[in-house]
Amino acid sequence: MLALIAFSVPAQLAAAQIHVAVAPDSVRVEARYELATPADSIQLVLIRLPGQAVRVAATDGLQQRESAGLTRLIVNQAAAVITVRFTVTGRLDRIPLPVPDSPTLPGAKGIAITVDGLAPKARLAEAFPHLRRAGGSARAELANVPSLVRLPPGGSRWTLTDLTEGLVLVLVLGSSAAWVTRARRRRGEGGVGGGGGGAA
Amino acid sequence: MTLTLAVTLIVYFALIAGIALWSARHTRTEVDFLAAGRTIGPFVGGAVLAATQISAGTVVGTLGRHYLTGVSWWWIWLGVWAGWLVSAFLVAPRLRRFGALTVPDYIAARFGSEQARALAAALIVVSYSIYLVAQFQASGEIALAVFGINPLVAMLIVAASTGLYTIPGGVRGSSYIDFLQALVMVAGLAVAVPVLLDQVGGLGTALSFLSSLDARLLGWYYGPKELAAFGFAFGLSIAAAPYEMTRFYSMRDERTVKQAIFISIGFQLLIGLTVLALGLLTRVLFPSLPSEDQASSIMAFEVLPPIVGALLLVAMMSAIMSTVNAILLVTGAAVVHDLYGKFVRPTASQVQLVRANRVAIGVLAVLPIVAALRKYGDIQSIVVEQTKFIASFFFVPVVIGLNWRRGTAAGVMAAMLGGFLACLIWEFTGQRGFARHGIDAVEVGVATSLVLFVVVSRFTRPVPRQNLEVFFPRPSSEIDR
Repeated sequence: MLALIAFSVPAQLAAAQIHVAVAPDSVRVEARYELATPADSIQLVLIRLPGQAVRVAATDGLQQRESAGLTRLIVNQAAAVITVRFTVTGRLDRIPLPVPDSPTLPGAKGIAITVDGLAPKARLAEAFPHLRRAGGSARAELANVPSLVRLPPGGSRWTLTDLTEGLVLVLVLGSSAAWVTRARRRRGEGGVGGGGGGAA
Repeated sequence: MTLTLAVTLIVYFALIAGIALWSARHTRTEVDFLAAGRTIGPFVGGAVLAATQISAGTVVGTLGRHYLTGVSWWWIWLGVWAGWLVSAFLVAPRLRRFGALTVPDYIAARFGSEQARALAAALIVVSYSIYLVAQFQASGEIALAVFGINPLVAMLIVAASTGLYTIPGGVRGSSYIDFLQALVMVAGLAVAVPVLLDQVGGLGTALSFLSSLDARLLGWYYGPKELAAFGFAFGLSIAAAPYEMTRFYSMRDERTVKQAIFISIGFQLLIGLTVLALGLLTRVLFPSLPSEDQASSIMAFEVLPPIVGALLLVAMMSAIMSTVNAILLVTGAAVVHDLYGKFVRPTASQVQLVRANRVAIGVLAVLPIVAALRKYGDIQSIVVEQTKFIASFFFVPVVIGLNWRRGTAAGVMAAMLGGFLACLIWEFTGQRGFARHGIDAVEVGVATSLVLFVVVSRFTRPVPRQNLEVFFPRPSSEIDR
């Protein structure tokens, strides 16, 4: 029966090195992709984020198609390695990354993202993907290419991450306390008790 | 993240072990083991039903299906809830009043046939073993995506840890553990939505990107016929799902069962909406994953803050373990209570039956792992196939059998076997695309089962009065003809 369910295997991406250089009024990105098998054509999508302009450097065989929510970059040449360079200006809290239509090889963390030029006090816990200090840079290693890098804020104000984690702790501790209190009350009333709302 | 995840997992599983040990102290008879001594109340019962329903098929498979196909898959929930309502009004109260331990118990008592009991038990073991394959495959996907470890290791860990809490405490232990798991799942999923929205940069950016990436993601990836067939399969199987019914038997009374079903639908509504949102938002952040089944674990591990991510990963493993646990109890009971205890060793003592249940659960947990390693398809597809089979052979015997007095032993045998074979043959003869026939295997299976049930029952001897009295309180002279 299970053999009835079919699946297909698409072309795959072996590795990628993405370098994000942050400057006060612009961000430069260089993304280098290595394919597991060379393809005649590969398509990359670049998310369009509000309040910013993206200027892609001209490369042989590279076509650019704009639509409302994304930019498609189409590389029409047989190649095992593709490099895309672009500059972002305007709003710089999130930086788009080109995502190839070929998924990565399963199990390997072959996508390396390096961010240079962050403020020394930048809170890396707020970044996406999860960045770690590596010398003067910040670095993340992933199994798949994300559509954007969220640069961490420099200040020490409360953020959504802080609030979310606080809320989760309150939820877990609160519900555990309610559970124990209810179980104790039921035991006091002479029930079997101990297990929560339904035990009588 | 890895340290946070490890600490969260250790604390969580220590809590589960504590509950299992507490439950083992209160488990002395088969009724204790298979029906928690019939003590579960509405809130715990509702959470338990939701946790049993919300399996890896939902947290991994459905989230992955939304990741791949977008919004339209959400409409199948309507079929699921319709199934629950049928169960609440036409099935659950009567079954709970009867007070059976297993669904084959009901089949044997209602139709006065031990052969029908054996057939029902055998079909349960076959179809739910397929469901276990999906659960184990999901644990392998999470392990590969998050830790990059061999899926077999993760499957064995899930089988061992689930067995550890199922084997000592039976339904009592698993009911309270399921309650805890439902709370963790709802909290983890709900909290993840605002975090992902914040990472993406707002709903407008996300929707604009998705509609440009593939317009079908926000529209109709599936047509109405396909969605109707999927919803039909889920609804019909929920209305007669043996593993959900096992949970009814453990509740205090008929009123509790109805209340629990409505509470469960509330939990499911919340989870269904959050899973939809998370599937779509994960597509925005990672548009090109190698498998849609990795969307949930990648989202938890790579996007969420460490504590929330760890909590959600625990919730996913919880969902898998909860469902594996429920299925093991049902298939174990089918083997021991309905086959071994009735046909092989009818004189077995309570202690021997409980021991045999524990051995059967251990064996049944390992076999589907072999199939899961072969990875026959994505998780949601395996779940859909299994629901089609359950609906095809159980919907008519359970739902129609509880509401039509004239159904006979021969009729129910024909309905179960005919429904199963019709569904199987329709699949094997190449009915995979809706475009060719427009009729799905589940529709063929249920229709065949219904026709056989009615026709064969009309031409065979009615069930003795004493068998019907429990299910149909009115005088037997009013038998429908």
